[in-house]
Amino acid sequence: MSETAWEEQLLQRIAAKDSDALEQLYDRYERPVYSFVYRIVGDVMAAEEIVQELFFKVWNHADSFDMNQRTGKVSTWIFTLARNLSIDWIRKRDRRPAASGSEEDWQGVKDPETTEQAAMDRLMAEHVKEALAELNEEQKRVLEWVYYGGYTQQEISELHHIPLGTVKSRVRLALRQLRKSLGEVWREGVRS
Amino acid sequence: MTSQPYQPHGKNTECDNVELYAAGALDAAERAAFEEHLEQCAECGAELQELRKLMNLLPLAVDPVEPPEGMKKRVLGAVLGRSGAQEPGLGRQVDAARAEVDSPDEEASGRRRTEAGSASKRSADAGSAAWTSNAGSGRRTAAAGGRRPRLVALLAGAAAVMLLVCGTLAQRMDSLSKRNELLSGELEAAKQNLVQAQSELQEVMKPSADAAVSQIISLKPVKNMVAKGQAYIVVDAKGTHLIVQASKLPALKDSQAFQVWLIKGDKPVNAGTFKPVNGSGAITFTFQPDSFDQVAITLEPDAFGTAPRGTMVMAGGLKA
Repeated sequence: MSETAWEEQLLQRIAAKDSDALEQLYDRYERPVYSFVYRIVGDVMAAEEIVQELFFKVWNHADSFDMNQRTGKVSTWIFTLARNLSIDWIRKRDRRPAASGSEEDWQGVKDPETTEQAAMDRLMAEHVKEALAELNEEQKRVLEWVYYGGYTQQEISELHHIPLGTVKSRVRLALRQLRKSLGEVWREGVRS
Repeated sequence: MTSQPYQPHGKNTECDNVELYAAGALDAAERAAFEEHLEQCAECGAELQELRKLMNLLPLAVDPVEPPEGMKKRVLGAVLGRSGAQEPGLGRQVDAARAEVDSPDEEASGRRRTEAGSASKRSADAGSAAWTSNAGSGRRTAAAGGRRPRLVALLAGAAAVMLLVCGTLAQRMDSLSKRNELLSGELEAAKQNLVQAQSELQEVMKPSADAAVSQIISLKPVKNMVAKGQAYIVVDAKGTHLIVQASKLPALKDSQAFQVWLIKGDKPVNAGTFKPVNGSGAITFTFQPDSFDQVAITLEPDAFGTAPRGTMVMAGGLKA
């Protein structure tokens, strides 16, 4: 069974309130999700609370993950939830208005050819790190603010006194650069 | 993805926002506007699919961090425990807990003391409680307690952090003291080496007590030379020494020097070079007891040769 299929089966069991399945999913994601959340919030206690909140949502909303439509990977769902909860937390801490990012962001991500295994993820992680390292400083900074800081383009423009158009183009260029760097890997790796 | 990674299609200004939307850099109003556009623009839709896949890769690149000790028990215990309870907003929980901690009123602080006292016990209870769904009904009551368990969780979390920090510090201390031991050992060994070297040096510096001349060799000049010379082989507690003394030596030009050799068969061993003053010079050379056939002096172009290059001046045979 592929990793994806295994995880989807776990989600089905979780939807049927199988706590062993939740534990298995937890074991699979504890470390990457905690690392990711901690990367955003930078706070050990908050990171644990968010992981708890995340698994609470998984436990109670596993049935909303519609695998028949193949709307997305389990990992995509989990990391999207993790990012949204983390960004909400830091925005609240910083007294910034709620991002109101929808938890449904992950839906509609049609990814029908994802059969890669965890090993592929690890390989991909290295490629992503390399691709991120290749960004120039301005692109790295703007991606940091947007992705890990949960700042909108408008906020970045105001906080850092950068014209809005410049913020826009830096985000755009950063993503294009990443796509370009990862283009080959993508075709060869994920789309197996 | 196509072989052309990305070309902005840009029919509409909203199309320019596809990356910002994917990255999450739009505010609520901008997002709504883009989503409206998205329904009309298939190209943006396709573009967004690709960009989201890209964004979904970013969590993979995060450096791994070790989760806190016991997190699994706490998380699964809480999740399975409060599965029947209403889902509280995360921010509210944190805010409520913080408000309680910050609360200045007397009653709250009294309660806080009590809770702090029993927090460790309760967190231990929570930790050991089974978190299977069977335990759900029991756990629900705790969750219904509202703010108090939040505080306990916070305190337990803080305690866990402290434990983690203490553990890390203890480990660090341990490794530092091990390193310290190692360095002390190295220092001790170095000191002993120094002491030994000093005593050896003292031995070398000590004047000879029982030096004995084992040979006196008369050095004979090669033809046309009037030089005179003698060599002594002296043995004492420190080793075997060659002492060569010569006079009436020819004058040297430029960087020329006289060089003394101990020769065994056809293999010369450099015993040192010297420059005479008023035609007279001397040299000493200490060597491992060995049998040499000859001692010789050559005239060399400079004082730094390791093998004879010049002409023989005088020589004498050694006893076996």
